[in-house]
Amino acid sequence: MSESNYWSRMRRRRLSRRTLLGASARAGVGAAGLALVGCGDDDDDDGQQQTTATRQQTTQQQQQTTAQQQAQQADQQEVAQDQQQDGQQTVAAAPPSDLIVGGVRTAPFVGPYSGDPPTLDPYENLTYRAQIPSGFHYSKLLQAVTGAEGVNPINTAEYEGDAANSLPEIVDDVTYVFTVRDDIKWHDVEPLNGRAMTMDDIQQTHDRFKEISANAAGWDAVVESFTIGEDRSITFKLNRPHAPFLTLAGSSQHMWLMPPEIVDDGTVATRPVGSGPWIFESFEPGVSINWRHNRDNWHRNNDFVNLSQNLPLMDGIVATMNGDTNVLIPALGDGALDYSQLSPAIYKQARDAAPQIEDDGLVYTLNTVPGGFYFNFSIPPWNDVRMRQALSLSMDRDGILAATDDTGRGKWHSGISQLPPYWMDPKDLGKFGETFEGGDSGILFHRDIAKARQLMDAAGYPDGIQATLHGTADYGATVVNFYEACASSAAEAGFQFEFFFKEYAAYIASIFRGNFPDGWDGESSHLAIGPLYGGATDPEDLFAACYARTSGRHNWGSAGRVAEDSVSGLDTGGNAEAWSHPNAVSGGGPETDERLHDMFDTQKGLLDLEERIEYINDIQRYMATQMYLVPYPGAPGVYAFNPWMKQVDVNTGAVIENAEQRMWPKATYAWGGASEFTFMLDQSIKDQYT
Amino acid sequence: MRQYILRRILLIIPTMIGVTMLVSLLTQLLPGDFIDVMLADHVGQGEDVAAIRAKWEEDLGWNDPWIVQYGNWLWDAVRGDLGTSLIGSFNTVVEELQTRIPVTLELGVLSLIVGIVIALPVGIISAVRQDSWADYIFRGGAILALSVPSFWLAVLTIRIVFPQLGLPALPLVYQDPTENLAENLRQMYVPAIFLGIALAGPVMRLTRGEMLEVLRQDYVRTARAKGLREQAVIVRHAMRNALIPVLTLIGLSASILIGGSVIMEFIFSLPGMGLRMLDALGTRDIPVVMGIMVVIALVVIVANLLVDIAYSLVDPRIRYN
Repeated sequence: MSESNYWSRMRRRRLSRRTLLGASARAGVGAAGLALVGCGDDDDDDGQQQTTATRQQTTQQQQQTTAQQQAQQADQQEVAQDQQQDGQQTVAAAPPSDLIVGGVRTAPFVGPYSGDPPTLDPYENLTYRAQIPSGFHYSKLLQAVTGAEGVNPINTAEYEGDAANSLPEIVDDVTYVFTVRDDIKWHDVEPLNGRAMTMDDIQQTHDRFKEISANAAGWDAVVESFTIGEDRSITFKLNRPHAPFLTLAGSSQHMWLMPPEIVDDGTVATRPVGSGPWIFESFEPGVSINWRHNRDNWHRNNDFVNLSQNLPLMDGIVATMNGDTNVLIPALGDGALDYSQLSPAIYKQARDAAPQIEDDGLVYTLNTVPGGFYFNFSIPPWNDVRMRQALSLSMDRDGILAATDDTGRGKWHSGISQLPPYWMDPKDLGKFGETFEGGDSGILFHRDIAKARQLMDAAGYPDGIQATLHGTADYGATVVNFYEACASSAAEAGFQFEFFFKEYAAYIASIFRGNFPDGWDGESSHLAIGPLYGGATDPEDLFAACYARTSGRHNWGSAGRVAEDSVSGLDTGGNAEAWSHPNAVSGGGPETDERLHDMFDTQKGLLDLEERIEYINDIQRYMATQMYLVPYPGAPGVYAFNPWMKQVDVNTGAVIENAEQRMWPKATYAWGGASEFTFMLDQSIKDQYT
Repeated sequence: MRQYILRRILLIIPTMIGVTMLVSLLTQLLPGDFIDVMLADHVGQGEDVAAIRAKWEEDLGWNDPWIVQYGNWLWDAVRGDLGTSLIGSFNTVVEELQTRIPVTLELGVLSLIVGIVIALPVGIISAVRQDSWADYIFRGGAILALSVPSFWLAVLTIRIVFPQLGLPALPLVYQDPTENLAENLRQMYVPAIFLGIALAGPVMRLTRGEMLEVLRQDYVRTARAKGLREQAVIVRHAMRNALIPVLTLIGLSASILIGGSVIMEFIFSLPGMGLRMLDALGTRDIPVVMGIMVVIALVVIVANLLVDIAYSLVDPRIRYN
């Protein structure tokens, strides 16, 4: 009801959120971004290929004595050779003579999940709607490796210089030195007018990021110091060795470089000016965001094949805000949309409506959004691991996918979703293992109604249980259908769920933060279902943001959180008192699981990729034994490109047999800048269809 | 008459205060608030959520009692300041309304035209040819228009009818009519037709009923007995009197059109007040909700006033004293 704009006031006052952190714990670490290291496809566990981690480490060591460019090129050649050895078929980019320049593509902002960004300042809000636009117009120190040759589509850990000349020099395990390009310029629009980016700009960006970004807490937990040096160098000193450090540096949710002018004049939230491949033109809520090309794009050509034409190739981008599938599907078929992200549930409809879209116009992505059933762990029955295991055993994961995933490419989530190259498919018991340290592990993902009933019987629920299943319907009808399939699947074992959907804001304010209502007859029969986190590219993102004790979200259910959450003023409904209920039990949830948190802590310091992958595999196995989150299966993301959209797979990487092509997760929220700048729109083909 | 209009205009003030007070109160009762929405995606790990929330509440002035908050809003509103959007565009609410009202207005006017063009002739023909096959068809159509949601018909049309007929999909990006009228109308015509059809149903039925009643009046019989042509009897004598209650209904439909436009604007990517209202409710952007509600309330009140004034113009017997 205030008369003034809170955010603009916040910007004017430079409200220091850092000062608000007070005594809050700072042990949590970096949220989003990509891993320092990674390798090959996710099924590659035989160690045949040298890991990217090793390569990067090796390369970075070499950088101390050799030219950085040479080292990077050698690194990429090595990656290409590795992929060829693996039989991976790479997609060649169009030779310069075949390049098509021009055209303005129109596509939904984020397919059926489109909607207005709450702000265009990525530091003020972490939602994908606020982060994704930044990838178009801002730069970062590093970016996900792009280009055709040697790019592995499912390796989210390959980085190259963006504003930085190259990957950093690694002085020791805790010291990274970046060198910023000297030819980098801001966009040639008011108020920057193409002026050169200075080191002071970067310092101010860093200071502002630390001042207001919610991700700065994770940054602080990792970065001890940030020092601008001579010769455009930046030195990061870490508190301790941190495997996914380049994740932070290249993350699409961390330090976007932005000029101080737009911060000072308050237009950073409404009219961003950056140094990325696209120049922001306008944002009309409910309608579209528009960009035009920045062909004075000093840095994005270096890894692309012999381009005589500056990137981006298209003239502009129109990202529409309408996510209604009733509009998207015919528009895709008619050619009003050049491409669209689809949800798996509308995949068939879209293909029927757009028969011109061939198989090679479809790009699939692994599902990296963890989700499933989550619980109130303080009181029975969900603090009893047997009940959580029984719930997992009751789920027919393949049946759920068959009913809800039209692509037929869905897979089973582990506790870290399907995040490559760390994910282990629980369906593959040969790798995952039926047991872990003597307890049931991978086997708990495989439906076994009899065993589920035995566990429920042992837990004191021989006749099954009735429970209220909380969620929100605001993720869309297809998601609700998916929830219903999950609930129905569990019914056979005796889990009778009654849905209770809340409107999004109410859900976020209560259930999402582990703040459950309780039926105080000595038992809590409440649980929830839904996704927990988007945009992760390293398991550390999930461990820190969702599962850590220090998480501000603490949405993995929780123990003893209600009193704190009463700040929401919602739905605690006197629960603070209830948490001291005689039947309340502590120790049933992840917060008191020292083993789990030790594992979370250990994996961060493992600088050898293979060792870290194996250790994270163990974390997944251990998480399976506890089932703090009972993961549901995950359908893939899918992008459908009309035939006139060319070179769309260049930056999604190679086509790999029996694996998924990737686009958005490759660069996470930075995909707009990392992928779209090589897309080509062939108007002559479009004219044939429209 | 002048006094009556003046009195009605003065009555707008307490009515608006009542409406805005009620809306403000209801927004307080909504579960979740703007800070919840922002915190959901804003909070990283290791942050003190309670402290952040407390600080934001203080900055937003939410620590004041509701009546004080409402009083502050009202005081600003009477000075022409409806506040600023908390999220997204960060425009002032007045700026938002300036860009959104024309879109909703255009859709409303087009729908009204469609509705009237369909309803009046159909209602009159249906009455004049009572119990004919045409009457049955028209009455059936009116019931259908009343009972089937317009947005459902619209979705059905663009998903099934358009592809079957090979018609091009509707534009996804709104075009200002001053820049490209043809493209603008291409985007508007489907929602306008279906909103118009929804309006036409009740108007047609009322027109038919009123016409039937009027056609049985003595003065109509007298007109016919005088030897007037049937067309003159219907147009000059019957229709003019039959349309008085129809006018009321059309006037009151202003609010229905605005309400109906919420979904239509969402489906057809029309950046009007309805779409903005939907967004604002979802994000608990209360200043925008309040601003749009002010406009809607004003439209309804003014539409009613205009209908009452139109009464006296249509029927000279009616005088407001």
